Amino acid sequence: MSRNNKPILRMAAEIHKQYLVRSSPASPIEFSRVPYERCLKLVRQLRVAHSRDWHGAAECVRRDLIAALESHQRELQSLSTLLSNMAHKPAVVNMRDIYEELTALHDEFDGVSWHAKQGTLSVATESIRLDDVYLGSFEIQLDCRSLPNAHYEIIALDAQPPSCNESVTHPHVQDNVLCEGDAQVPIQQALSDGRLTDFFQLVAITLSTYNASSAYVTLADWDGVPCVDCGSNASEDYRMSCSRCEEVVCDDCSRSCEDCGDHCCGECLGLCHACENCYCGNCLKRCDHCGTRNCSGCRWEERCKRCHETTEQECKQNRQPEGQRKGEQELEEERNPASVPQVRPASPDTAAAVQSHGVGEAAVPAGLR
Amino acid sequence: MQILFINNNGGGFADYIEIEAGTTVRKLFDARISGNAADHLIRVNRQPVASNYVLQPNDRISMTPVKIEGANS
Repeated sequence: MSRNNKPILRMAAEIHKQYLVRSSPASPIEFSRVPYERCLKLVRQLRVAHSRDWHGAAECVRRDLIAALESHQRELQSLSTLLSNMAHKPAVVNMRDIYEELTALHDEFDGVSWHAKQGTLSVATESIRLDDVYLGSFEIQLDCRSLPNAHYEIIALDAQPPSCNESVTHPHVQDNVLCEGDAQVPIQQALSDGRLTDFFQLVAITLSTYNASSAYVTLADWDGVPCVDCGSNASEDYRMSCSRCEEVVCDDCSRSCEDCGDHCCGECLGLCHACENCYCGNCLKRCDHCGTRNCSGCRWEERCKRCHETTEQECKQNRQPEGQRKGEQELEEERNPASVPQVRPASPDTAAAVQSHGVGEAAVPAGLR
Repeated sequence: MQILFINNNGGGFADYIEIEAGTTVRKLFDARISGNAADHLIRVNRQPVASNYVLQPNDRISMTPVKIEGANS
């Protein structure tokens, strides 16, 4: 064995240990009689409860029996699955297989690295570009201490997350976890069989494939920014900034002010209380009287139409007594001229003709002179 | 003769199978997978081979599709 292969051999020895633990006789098949016996006991209790007309007790036992049977059924199913998987196992994983897998892994991938302390085996993928969106390269980091279980992370080496979600680094990777989709069973089977190269290839292929119908963030939305109103990702061609708060708003949610024509988000637009059209905050003013917001067309002298009209009426009512009196007097004069008090001619003693200039001129008797 | 056949399509199971002597990689692919061989990574004894490679007893052949769709949950 050449000197260069020694690290791979050490790696293989460490990984093989995990498979040995897995295949040790203590680990695999356990079948307990306890759940079955509990079911039998409950059936007996149910029979007794029915025979003695203990309806309440019978109901309780019936529910317990259903739960016990379901639990037992699950255990039997998992045992059945375990046995089925064992049937497909071609051979026990030996150290030579692991060694050959690791050698092949170095042929297939660049950047294979083994971290003995953490017990992780990693490979780096090539830079991935899907539908013209550059996603960078990824490190597939397999936790060998959990083998043959598939505990691994996908770490973005040149993370290019979409602006809407920093935790997504790939349409099918969130929080460093790959959602395997169709690759789930082959990946688990590869690790179970000790086929490490197949495992890394399957993961790398899944990362190189895009499934638009089931992505955390679709590539069409990758460069998008979430709309402040509806939350959907708006790509550059279908979004604008609110002219007031400068938040991003998609074309569907954007509305323009009826007055100034500025495009705004829903938060910055308001309805005129009177005409119910949309206006921006600049074009809506509060009525001094009732506080409602109104557009310029529905506002008079800093008041809304309603308050303005109300004020006008109040003013009219305040002016009414004086006018009313005047009108009534004129009407009375027309109807009954006799009732209007006449200016009596002055008596010889006090007679004073009223001159045109309004100054009285009285005839004073001679005796008084 | 017997070979180990690893089919990473679907179930991804590995099985020992019996094949006729002189079976090529192409023939096995057509019989077991069908479709376009170019859409698969085919390795014999963990090495890339030509499609006219004649399989030998106890060879280990794996066929892995080059497109596998992930999901989001």
